[in-house]
Amino acid sequence: MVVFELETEVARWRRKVERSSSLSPREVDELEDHLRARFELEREMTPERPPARAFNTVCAELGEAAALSREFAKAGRRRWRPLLLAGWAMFAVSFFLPISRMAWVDPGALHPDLVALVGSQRPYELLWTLITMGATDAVLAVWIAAVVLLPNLPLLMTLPALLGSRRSARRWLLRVLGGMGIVNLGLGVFRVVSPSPFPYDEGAVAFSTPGAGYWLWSASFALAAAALWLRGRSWAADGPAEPVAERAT
Amino acid sequence: MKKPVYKELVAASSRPMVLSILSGGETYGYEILKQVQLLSGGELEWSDGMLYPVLHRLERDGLIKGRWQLTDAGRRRKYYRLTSRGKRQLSTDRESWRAVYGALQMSWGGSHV
Repeated sequence: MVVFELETEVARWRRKVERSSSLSPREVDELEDHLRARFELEREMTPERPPARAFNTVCAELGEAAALSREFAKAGRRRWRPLLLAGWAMFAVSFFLPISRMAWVDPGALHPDLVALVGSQRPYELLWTLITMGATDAVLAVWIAAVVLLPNLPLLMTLPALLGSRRSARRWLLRVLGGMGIVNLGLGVFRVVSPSPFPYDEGAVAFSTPGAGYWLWSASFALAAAALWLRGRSWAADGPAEPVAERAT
Repeated sequence: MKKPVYKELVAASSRPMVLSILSGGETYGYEILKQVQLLSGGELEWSDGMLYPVLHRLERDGLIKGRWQLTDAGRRRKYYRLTSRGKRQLSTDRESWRAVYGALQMSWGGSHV
């Protein structure tokens, strides 16, 4: 004979709601308080009813996690959308900011050409150079398109979500975006700790570290992944209710 | 048996209803739901899950303000109170609903009531 344990059942309900909705812990706290109050009333009104059945009734009345989540989302703002928008804004801005910045040159004086090369490299400038190079050579153009597009393709694939498509994002895309974001940010940190040498003539060596463009570009992938994750959670299709097994008290 | 009030009307009246209840003092979600049932004689059918999104929308709009408090049982509970903006909104809502009710009363005259 299994005894009904309210705390166990509430914890189970909470886990289920947290897993299959985008509600914040605070929002779930509030619903839990309501659930407990409703359960107490149900027990007072129908003491002859098994507590497990009363608990199931109260849970059903409160609603499924996904439906609750949708209602909360309607009432509030879509949490994922500003995040994805921020990711895209960062991605766009990163094209106009330097990829790397000059850390120092050792030994010798700082050469103006080197500053131009290392200190002010901006993706849109590189892109333009590559396009003009590719315009005269078809093979080179394909190669350039692949080099430029491939690293940015995962983020570009989030555009339908940003434009309001209700089709859910594929899980692999979320993983690729998240993975690229984390790996690139990690590499950035590594390059700050250990700046990469950049050979220059007469034995001089310049060291560069990631610039603002690099950081923004990397972070935009992590943000987009977080946004897709939140979006998936808020649309989580809830399966059929998992009723508490009828138990003898 | 009376038919329940249709859901569009329930939804439309949710804001003035919550604001009116909170004009009586600070309270929490479950108590608001009980008050709605009591005031409407059970005719307004508010589902448990409907209330909280409404409360959150009103809070987002600055009409009510919530704060967390510990209950005697040591659990956290969110209490809501009316803000000054909410008071003004309630006053506007009251006038609107009175106008609607008055117009309907007039149009029904005595023959259809």
